[in-house]
Amino acid sequence: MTLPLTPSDVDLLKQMAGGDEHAFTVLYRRRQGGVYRFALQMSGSRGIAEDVTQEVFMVLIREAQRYDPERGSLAAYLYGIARNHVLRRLERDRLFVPLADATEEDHDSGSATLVAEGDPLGDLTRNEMIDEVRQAVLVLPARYREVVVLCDLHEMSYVEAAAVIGCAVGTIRSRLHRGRALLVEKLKTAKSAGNERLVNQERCFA
Amino acid sequence: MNCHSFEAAIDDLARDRMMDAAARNRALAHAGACAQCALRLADERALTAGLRKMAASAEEAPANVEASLREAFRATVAAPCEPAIAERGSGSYHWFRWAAAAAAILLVALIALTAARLRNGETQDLQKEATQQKEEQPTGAPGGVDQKLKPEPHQVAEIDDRRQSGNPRQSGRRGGRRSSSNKKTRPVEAGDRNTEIATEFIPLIHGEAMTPSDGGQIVRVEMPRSALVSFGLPMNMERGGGRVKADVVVGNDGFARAIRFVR
Repeated sequence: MTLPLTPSDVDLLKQMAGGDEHAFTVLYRRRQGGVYRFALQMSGSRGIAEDVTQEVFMVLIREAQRYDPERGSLAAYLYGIARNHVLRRLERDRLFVPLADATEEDHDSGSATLVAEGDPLGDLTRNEMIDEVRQAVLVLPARYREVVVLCDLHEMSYVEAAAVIGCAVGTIRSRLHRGRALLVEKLKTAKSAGNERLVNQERCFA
Repeated sequence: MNCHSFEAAIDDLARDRMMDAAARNRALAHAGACAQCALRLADERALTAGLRKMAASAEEAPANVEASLREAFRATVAAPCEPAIAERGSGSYHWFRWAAAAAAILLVALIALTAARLRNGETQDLQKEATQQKEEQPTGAPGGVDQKLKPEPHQVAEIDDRRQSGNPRQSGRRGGRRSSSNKKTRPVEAGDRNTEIATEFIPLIHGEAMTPSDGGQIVRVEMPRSALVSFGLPMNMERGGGRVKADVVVGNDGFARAIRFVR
């Protein structure tokens, strides 16, 4: 069966459901990267990311008819499956590292891995800081982490992220704001722990 | 715009997201006038830059994942009724386990139900036989039976050798006792070694009526003959030192429920 030059995900899915292995391969190669990176960024484990990627596409193989195009894009559907599997795996493996809203815990050993010499926020563009950001993302609470990963790392819109997570758009906005604030706070804390520079918290509300 | 409203717009501003042009200009103007908000915006933009660098990595799933998935796809297409099982991970196959467990439970319940029905059927057969024999039995029991122990005719039940053999189903089939002609032509004789005379079950707990059909097990015991008096039965004082057989019904909880005396 010949495929059009750029068949849509839904077309590929239909052909795949009809037993077309080539359509499955095209669809897999198109979507596996995002699913794999999402799982990797959420878990920090390549093993989990591989397992989740495989599970996601196995679900697609077995139950392709469950996808409803009216409820969102196929990508969002795959991300949603991946999210469920990642959270299940994290819960099973007890890899959650809670990050309290209070900043007291930030001074503990948990933030030690994020401490970087110099000016972390000013040096974020440097490659060596990517790992620092990755670690900071990984220690975010899952509800903030998934929104940061989807919106900032996968550049999803609020609507798409809401479809993946299954919540309101406003929830995505607020969680993203809170998650980013926690990330900044985390890196600033690391910075202040490094050179003990006090940050003036006074804000003008004029 | 103040710092509070600036905070609400900072995400879209730092992430270069599409936003209202007027609001964007107001936010930028505020950042230009407020050092703290300018610093906050700089932090957010630096974070955005770091996150984008992190997102730029194009890591993909290893090739073996694609290979195993394609193999699974082929297996699924070849046998659509049998879901292919991936080599890695097993989280999606829990329903197989649940289905197997449910089937096993169903099977066990079915076996238990069948066994209970068979048991009840045999008990009812015994009762029917006893009733029939009661009707056929002459009013005066033949000699050899302790007249004082002998219960009233309506209390007489026959315990055939099936119960004593411990394999009632087998002996029931072997003996052919269920044929009506055999039942009618075989009178109960006290001298028959295969026939026993027993009283009705006497409840041991709160006067509850207890019959063999209530479940539990019947245990054959020997007791001092003087025990007959404890249950209000007459005893031949001349043979008071002897022993008497009894069947004790032991419930499923292990407590003795009823007793009957046997000769």
